[in-house]
Amino acid sequence: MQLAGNSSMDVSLRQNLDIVDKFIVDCEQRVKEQPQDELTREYLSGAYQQKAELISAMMDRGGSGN
Amino acid sequence: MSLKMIGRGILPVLGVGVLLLPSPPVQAAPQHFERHFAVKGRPVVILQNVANGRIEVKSSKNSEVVVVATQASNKIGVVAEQAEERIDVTATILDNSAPANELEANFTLTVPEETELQLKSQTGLVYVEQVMGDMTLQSVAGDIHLKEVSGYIVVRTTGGSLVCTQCAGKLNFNSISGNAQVLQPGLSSVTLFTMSGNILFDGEFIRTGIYTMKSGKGTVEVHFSGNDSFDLNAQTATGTVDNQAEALLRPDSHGVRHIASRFTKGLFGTVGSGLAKVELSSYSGTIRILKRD
Repeated sequence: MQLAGNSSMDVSLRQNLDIVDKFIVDCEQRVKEQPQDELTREYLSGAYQQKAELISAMMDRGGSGN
Repeated sequence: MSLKMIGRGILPVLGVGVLLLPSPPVQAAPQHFERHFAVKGRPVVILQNVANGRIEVKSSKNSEVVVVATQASNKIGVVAEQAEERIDVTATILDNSAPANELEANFTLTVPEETELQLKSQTGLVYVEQVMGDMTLQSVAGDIHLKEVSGYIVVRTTGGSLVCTQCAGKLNFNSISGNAQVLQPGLSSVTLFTMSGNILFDGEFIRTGIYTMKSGKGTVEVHFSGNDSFDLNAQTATGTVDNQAEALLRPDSHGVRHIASRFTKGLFGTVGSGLAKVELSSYSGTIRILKRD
């Protein structure tokens, strides 16, 4: 997901998407190693939800998927 | 060559030269917007600021809603309308090609003490003081500061942080990278979640209150007093739990035997009679539990 704009808001959205993506990678790795770790699964599920909401907000601002 | 002919030849050239001279940048003229709306009871004020800029809300004893906006230029349109007790204010960008400094609109709202709020901001600060009523406050990058507000308070940010001072009622905060600070609260229900920000709760746990604070990567710090009464459950997947109030923490007094997951680190315990319920968790951040002096 890319936003064409360089406004402070577009920058913030991109930075936060990066934070979510890195967090998801981290949690997925942990779940692979410890599939029974319910707490990490809970955080991972919340992160997917956050990512969906963030992408929706970015699309509202005129982003284009890639 | 006559003087008349020279004049004929030079003047048009001078004229073109004047037209080609670089002109000073046109300064966008600030715009002022002000509306007064009479209300009878408890109004609902909805403000959506698509432009950049801050929103400030204060209360007064008057039965009216006053909307004041200062726009950096005429590239932003502000519309306010009233439908009985609902006041709807929208700031929209009229010219997307305008430079960022011309796309700023700052709002000051003066509302009755009992007012419901729905505010949506992009990058500017949202400040609300002394308003009683349910409120939903959304921001992308702007911080949200609340002082002496009460009601069911819902705050959603992407990167903006929350500072809630002397708030009462119920608070629900959700953010990706924003921090949350809850200071001197009178809140009976608190749900705070941030993926990478820090959480600080410094205040009293009301008996029968439920307090849930979670941070993925940030620190969750709780300061409580020796007079507080609560059951505590603190869990982290890969972070650490720093309990600096161990002397006050006793095994759960309600007969429920908690068994910690072998995949997490954490603690269960009771302070006082365990009347409130406090749940702290993190994925990789530190959970810090401190007793206030």
